[in-house]
Parts: sequence; structure tokens; C-alpha cells
Amino acid sequence: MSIAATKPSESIAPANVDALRALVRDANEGGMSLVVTSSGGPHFKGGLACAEPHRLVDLSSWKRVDLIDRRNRVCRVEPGVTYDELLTALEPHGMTIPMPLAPRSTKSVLAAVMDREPSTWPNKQWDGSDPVGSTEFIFGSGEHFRTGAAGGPGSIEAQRKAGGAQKFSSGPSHTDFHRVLQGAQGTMGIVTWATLRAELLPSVEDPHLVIGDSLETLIPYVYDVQRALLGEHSFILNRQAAAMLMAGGDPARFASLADSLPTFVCLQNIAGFERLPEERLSYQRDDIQAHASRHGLKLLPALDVLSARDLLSRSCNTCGDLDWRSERQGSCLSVFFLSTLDRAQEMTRLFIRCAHDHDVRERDIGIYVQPIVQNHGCHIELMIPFDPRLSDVSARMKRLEEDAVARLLDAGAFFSRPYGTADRIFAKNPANFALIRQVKSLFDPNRVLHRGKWGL
Amino acid sequence: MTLDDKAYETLTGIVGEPWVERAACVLDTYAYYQNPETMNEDGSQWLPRPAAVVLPDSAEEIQEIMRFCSSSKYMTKPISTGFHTAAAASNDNTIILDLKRMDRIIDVDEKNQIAVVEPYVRAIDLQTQLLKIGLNCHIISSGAMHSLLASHAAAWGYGVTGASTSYSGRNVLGVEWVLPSGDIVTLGSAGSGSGWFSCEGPGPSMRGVMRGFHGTFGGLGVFTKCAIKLYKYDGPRSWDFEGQSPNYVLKEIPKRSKFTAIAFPSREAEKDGGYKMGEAELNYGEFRTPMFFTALGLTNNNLELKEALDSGLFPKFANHVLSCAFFAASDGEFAWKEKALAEILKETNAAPVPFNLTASVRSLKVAGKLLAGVKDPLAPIRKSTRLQRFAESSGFGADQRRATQSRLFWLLIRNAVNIQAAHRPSQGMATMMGAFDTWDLAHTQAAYSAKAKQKYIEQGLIIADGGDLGAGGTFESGHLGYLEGIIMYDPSNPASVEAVRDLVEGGLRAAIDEAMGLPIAGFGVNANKKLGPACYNYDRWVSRIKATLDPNMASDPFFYAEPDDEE
Repeated sequence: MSIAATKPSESIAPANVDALRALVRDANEGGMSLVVTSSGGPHFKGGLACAEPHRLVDLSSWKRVDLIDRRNRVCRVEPGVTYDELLTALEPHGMTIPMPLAPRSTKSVLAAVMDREPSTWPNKQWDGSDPVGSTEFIFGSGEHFRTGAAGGPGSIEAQRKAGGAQKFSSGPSHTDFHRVLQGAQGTMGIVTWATLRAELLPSVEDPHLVIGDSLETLIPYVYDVQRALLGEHSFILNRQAAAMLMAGGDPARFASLADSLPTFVCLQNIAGFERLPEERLSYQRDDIQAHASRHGLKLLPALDVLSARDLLSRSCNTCGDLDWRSERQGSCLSVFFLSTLDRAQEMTRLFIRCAHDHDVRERDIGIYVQPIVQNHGCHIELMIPFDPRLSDVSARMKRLEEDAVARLLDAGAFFSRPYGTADRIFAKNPANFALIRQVKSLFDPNRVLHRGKWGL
Repeated sequence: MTLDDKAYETLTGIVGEPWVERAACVLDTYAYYQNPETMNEDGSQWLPRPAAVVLPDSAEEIQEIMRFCSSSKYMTKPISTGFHTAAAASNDNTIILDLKRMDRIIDVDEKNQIAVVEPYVRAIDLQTQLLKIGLNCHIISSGAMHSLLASHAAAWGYGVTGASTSYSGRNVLGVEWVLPSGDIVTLGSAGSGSGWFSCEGPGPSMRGVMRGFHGTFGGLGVFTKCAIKLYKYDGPRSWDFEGQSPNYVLKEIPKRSKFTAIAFPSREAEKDGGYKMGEAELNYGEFRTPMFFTALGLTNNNLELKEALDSGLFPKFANHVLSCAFFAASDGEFAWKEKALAEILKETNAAPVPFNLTASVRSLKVAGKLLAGVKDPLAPIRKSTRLQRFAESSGFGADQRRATQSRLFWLLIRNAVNIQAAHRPSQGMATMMGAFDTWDLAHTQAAYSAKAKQKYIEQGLIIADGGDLGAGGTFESGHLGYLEGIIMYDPSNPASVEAVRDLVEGGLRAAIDEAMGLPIAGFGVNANKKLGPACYNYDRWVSRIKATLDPNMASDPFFYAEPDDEE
């Protein structure tokens, strides 16, 4: 929102890695900056907005899923593979993949994981960079690299013959360059494929809802269950967010849900897998129920207007071409950041106060709280749907975003994925930003990748 | 070259006179580490005598020292607990920064499972606090005395609870880092004042140049704080024991705990078992214990070890053993895990090693003779779950069983015996291979190591350990696997040392030729030159990073990278 974006001079769809490298070489020889996309539009967060003259490199047609390895629970995807395509490919092998909350049907899996988008399956994420295994990418300089186990020695085929599956993400040796590319929004390199950690597909599931009238009533329960690594998919939505997610753009359905859902609802999936599935599910349900009871909460299979199974299904599938946040009014202000669960209540109250100052009612604010990295942190997302055709509303939302980001930053919100005005977070850690600049000068010495983003 | 007077004055001005030392007798204590003869080209057991040893107490003092080094001929090498040769100075212009005064546990955030530590916080110090509150940290198998900051931020190492506590390099949630320039940068959320819960971002994660798989070994500045990820621990929060060193026996085996050693009939079965146990999320701790390690772990001295091996029993049942520990938070969970394990044993034709029998030399000799004609002494147990249950729960041999289970508790949970045991047979221990990826690849490496060692075993140059000392296990519920090939040798015998060098070097070449992954020894200036061309010229990239972040060579480059000439 803060960038005076220019349109790309052209959109180019390179056929293969060689053609892509040629584009990068051209750019280094005086050509225009390159902005890369792998997802289909509409692009919700504004990550492609570029103020400098640039060409758009579109990798959405790169669709290969050329490794699915059940034994090692790993797959390899190219940039254009969407969640629907990957889920369909994995399912016959009894596997699935942790995914963001109901992504757009055109959302690139690779783009999501390289942007560190949170998944709804927190206890499968051991490290902030998961589920990324190895990657292949092209530096801004045009040089070619592979990270993790794929970094060598040997070809991919030879590695597989030796029993490897390019699953380890660190290396080669002293390097961990996939982390530099993650969150970089295309400023450090162009990823041409990544291996991803897959998970077993649950063979039985018994999802539940846990409800509360405030975040504070649910959070102690979530801490206990996540710490014990119990259950599977889990997240918290307030009634507005749950209604936005479940209504699918239907105003009547939205109104019905928003009127009748409890203030907060936590999805708690419980599952069994290939081994003794029913028995696993049984003990997990007992143990989770015990945690819920200790906090005066109940596991509910359904409410009058919402079943846990429907919520799980909606969250673990794509939502359609338009992001669910925007289905209601055409657009949505989304402010998201990381913190820890014990600060979620404070942060959301702060945002609500800020929104109130900009004439937004609390009842119009959606709240999504997602534990990440085995609940060592959490993603907090605050959403206000609005009609982008109303210019005064759009302007108000922009002012609200700027104000909210500033206040949240002061309160300790960590905008780890800075979009829009959240890029002011770089000023909070100038030493880190200086380091980013130094690394940028190595990875992309001629600043051909997304020139000008964040001042890089 | 000892520190000159002007430099001495500068450094004492920074840290105070008591904390700068340049007496040769002290400096030499920093010139001897674990088995340096295999890394020194001349086979010497001594490493370069540093110019001085300085003991700073804060990041700010280190900042000043780095600035001093940036403008002088000196460079720094930080050590915390120090163990491996990579902790040493590489030349006599190097000032050792001994960080043992920085030993504070800054924070334990129980709720969010995060600890923030300074360099000299030893794993045992933190773990002792953590277990009491049902948490644990990943501890590498150099032992519980090691610096957690070193293993997480700056170096590598495999730990026996990797199945449930991941790998140190993946458990970093933030660092405070004094760059070679003297600038202090805090990575991740803590750098933005948001708390120590994430090391990624904002935007691109500079964690990507901070350590990689191997770490920078002090070659790119100094880490002064590290936030590490903690994990649940459902084992006992306190325990009583009896006995005396080295045999401390738990007075009782904690409820909902299992300590077992699973003997698989073949490497293929062992591989399958590792994957299956990982998928079932069974193991909390896990250590592959091939024949020689099993015998080592059951004996107290080398004579007992020799006689145990002479019994001929161990190669019959213990070539493919995984020692495991698991816990459960509820009776339901424990019952499920027991049942899942029983299924896996059946599917892989594996058996738990019966712990009821004493491992005394006399009994082993008798058993060896009695079973001389028996190919697989565990065959009856493999076939009978009833026999397995009897061995695990009957009163017969209960004290002996508890003693052996206790050994596994100290090994797999408290990390109390690993390194002492590994050095006992010959005083010299080296390692080869050790690339991280899958459990299958780990076994490919172990099989290679076992084969490569045979020649030297036959020549009597290394310990006759059967060849396969592939040490490691699965990580992150079977998602990853790791085995390094341990070699035990005689450090006082140049031919034995040369054999180790041949093996490590041969392993490195084989890793390249046969695509077996980048070995554990694949770090530092010399190894990078060999491996880099086979690995997308990563050596050039780290040299560029070195040139950019350390243009005045304030950090000793040897175990990381020298600056790229082109820069």
C-alpha cells in the first residue's frame, strides 16, 4: 500500500531454467529490474508492487511435481504448482502437506513456503523455515545454486541412488541460503524448485471446536495441547473471521454466522494415521479432553451453525480464485505479524482500539491467531473487509494500517513478513538491515531483483 | 608470537588486567584439544600457541576487542567449553576469547519453551533446570558439558534426542552476534524488541549466513547470546539412584518410561524400523548402537570389553541395534506406544535385547560357549511377544534389567557417558562421513565406512570394532537421519593416525564420487576447497561473505573461510 507501484513493461514466461538465467543475465547487462511471480492473481498483499521500471517474470506455468517419496515423506515442486495440484498428487501416496489457512486456488505452494506463510498444522513445523527442504535458485548475479542436501555432492539422481532425498535444508557446509531467500519477497534470488516435507494423510479424523468468550479463555488450553504436541491442525478465529472464512462470499450466510457464532472458536483436529489409527485417535482425544476440562472448556463436534468438520475441510482446501478475506466486500485490510500466544490478547486489543480511532467497529474486525513452529510463536492476523470501490473507505483503511502498524510495532509486534507499511520494521533493527544490505550486495550486486523494494 | 605490550595494554584496558593472559604455560593449555594429530598435517598433538587469552565479560567488551583486531595484525577465536580441534587458534596471531565468564542463563520462558543463554552455559546446567519443569533442550553427543550456544549458533554435532528435539542448528530462535567489524546485531524478533521467539526476518533471514549446517567456528565474529528452542519432556522430573561411578542405578524405573535396545536382524530391517518408529513418533531418545558400542556400553573397562567381545555373542545379535527411550504423558499414550512398538518389532522381525541377563564377563563366557552353534540367539524372542513381555516385566533378572535401563537413561537423556565411553578403548576417536538427510542415506554412509575400515582393522591400525560404528539416529520423528562413522585409533602411533587421515580423506572423496552428502568434516578452508567445486562452489560464496563481513580479518578464518581473492 505504501509503494507508488509502476506497471511492468511486459510479462515474460521463461520456458525453463536456461531461459530464466538468460533473463537474469540480460537484466545484469543493463536491462530492467525483474519481479517474479509464481501465483496467479489477484495478488492480495501487494508483494509484486515495484516502483522501478521492471519486467514481470511469470513462473506460474512451471508445474512439475517430479518427486513424491512416501518413504522419506518428501516431494519436489516447481514454482507454479498450486495447493490443489499438490494435494491431488500427494493423496494417492497417502500424504499431504501443511498449508496456509484456505489459500487461493491460484496460490503457488512454493511462493507460500518461501514467504514463510503460517500453516494450520503447527506441531509439524519444527523450524521456521519448514516445510522447505532443499532448493534450487538463481542469484541476482545469475549464478546458479542448490541448498540443503541437494547442494551436493553429486547430481540429484546420484543422491537418490545413494538413498538421499534432498530433504535436509541446511548447507552446503557453512551456508543456509534458503533462509536468505525466504521472506525476501524476490529480492535475493529466484527459486526454480524446492523439496518440501510432506506428512502422512490422516486416515481418521475427529475434529472439534473449543469455544470461548475471549482469547484469554482459550490460550491456556492451546498452550497445554501444543506443548504436549497433541492433536493436529489447530488455530483460533474470532466470530467475524470464522464467518468470513465459512460464508464463501454469501452475505446471508455471513450474517447468520456472525450473529450466532461464539466470540472465539478454536479448531482442534485429532487424527490417526496409518498405524493403529483409531487407538491413536482415542488416546489423543482423551488427553486433549483432559486439558480442555482442566481449563473449563469442552470439545464440541459442532455448534448450531458450524461443524468442526466443515471448518477443517474449509481450512485445509483452497478457497477459490478470490482470497476468502476479500470475498465479502472485494478487498480486505490485513495486518499480520508474529508474537507469542501470551501477547495475542494485548495485541488484538491494541488493534481494536486503533481501529476504533478510525471509525471501525470491533464487530467488523476479524481475528486469526495461528500457533507456529510448535507454538514457539504465533501469527496474529487482523482483518477488516472493505469495498475497494469506495475511495474514502480505501483511504481510511490506508490510514488505519499506517497507524496500527506503528502502534503495534511500538508494542512489540514482529512484522517478520513486511508488506505495505510494515516495512518500517527494518528501522527497528538497523544493524540487521545493514547486514541485509551487505548480503544483497553479494547475492544481487546489480540490484536486478525487485529493485527498490525496502530500499535495497 | 606472544601479544606485544601495546596490544596487551589495549586489551587490559578493555577487560581489566586479570582477564588477559600471555604466559606460555597458560597459552599452551589452549593449544591441545581432542585428537589434533589427525588434523595436523605433521601429526603433532599440539596446535598453534595463541598470542594471548582474553576473558571478556560482555558483548560490549567483545565489540571493543573486535574493533581492535580490525585495526591490528591480531585476530580472534572465541571458545566456550571447547573440545574439538576446531576450537583452537590456527596461528600465533590469534587471540583466544575464552567466554567462560559469560555463563548466565538469561531467561527460561517456560510458557513459550524458549531459553536464552550466554556462551558458557553448559547443557547440563540448563537441562537440570529444564527437566524439573517438563522441558528439555537438544544436547549434542560430545556430552552434557558442552556449550549450548556453541552447538546451536557456531558449530555442529549430533544429539541422541534428535528424534524429539531436532538438531541444534535448527533450534536457533535468535542470536546476539558481534560481527568482525565490532557491530552488534541481534537477529530475528529479539532484534526488533519483540522477544526471543523467532530468528527469521524481518524479510530475508540473516540466519542464512550465520551458520549453515556446520557453523562458522568463530570465523565470522562472536555469538554472545543465543535463544534456543525447548521441547516437552514427559520423563521423570526427579530421580533417586544408588551405586557409584560409573554405575549409577535408578532406584526405580519411572512410570510411563521405556528404555530398550532393539536388535534388528539386518541393516534393511533396521532402516525400516527407524522409519516406522519415526512415523509413529515413538522415540524420545535414540542412539544406534552397533555391536561394538553395545559391548562398550555394557562394560566398565577395556578388559571387560575385550572379554565380552571374545565371547562371540555380540556379532550374533547386536550388529543392528537401536537403543531407544520413550515417555508418555498419559497411560493411554503409553499403551499406544507399547502396542505400536510391538507391531513394528513384528513387522521388522526385531527383538528387544533382554536386559535381565548380567553382562558380567563370566556369564558372557558361559553364554558364548553355550550358544556357540547358535546363529541368532535372539530368534526365540523375535518370534514371541510373550517372551518379550516376560523379559521386560518379570521378576527374573529385574535388578540387572533396571541397571541396564539406567545406563540408557544416563546415555539418552542426561548425555552423561557418550564421549567418555568413546575414548575409553584407545584414547583416540575420529569420525568420517556424517551427512544429514535421510535415514537411508545415513545407512549408505555407515555401510561405506564399515567397508573402508576393514583394511585398517586387518592391519591392526585401528580398533577392531567390526567396522560399522555408524553412530547417530533419526531426527524429527523420522523426517531426517544421520550416521557418522566412528573410528577408534591410537593417537601415539603415527601409522594409526595416518590410517585415520586416509579414512577421513577417502570418505570425503567417496562422498563426492558417490553422492553421499557433505561430510561432517566438510568445513573450513581446506575442506571447502575440496568440496566446494562439487557443491555449487559454496566455498566461493562463504569466501565472499568473509570478505564482505570481515574485510580486516578480525576473526580467525581457518575453520570457516578465507576472503575471496576477487573481493
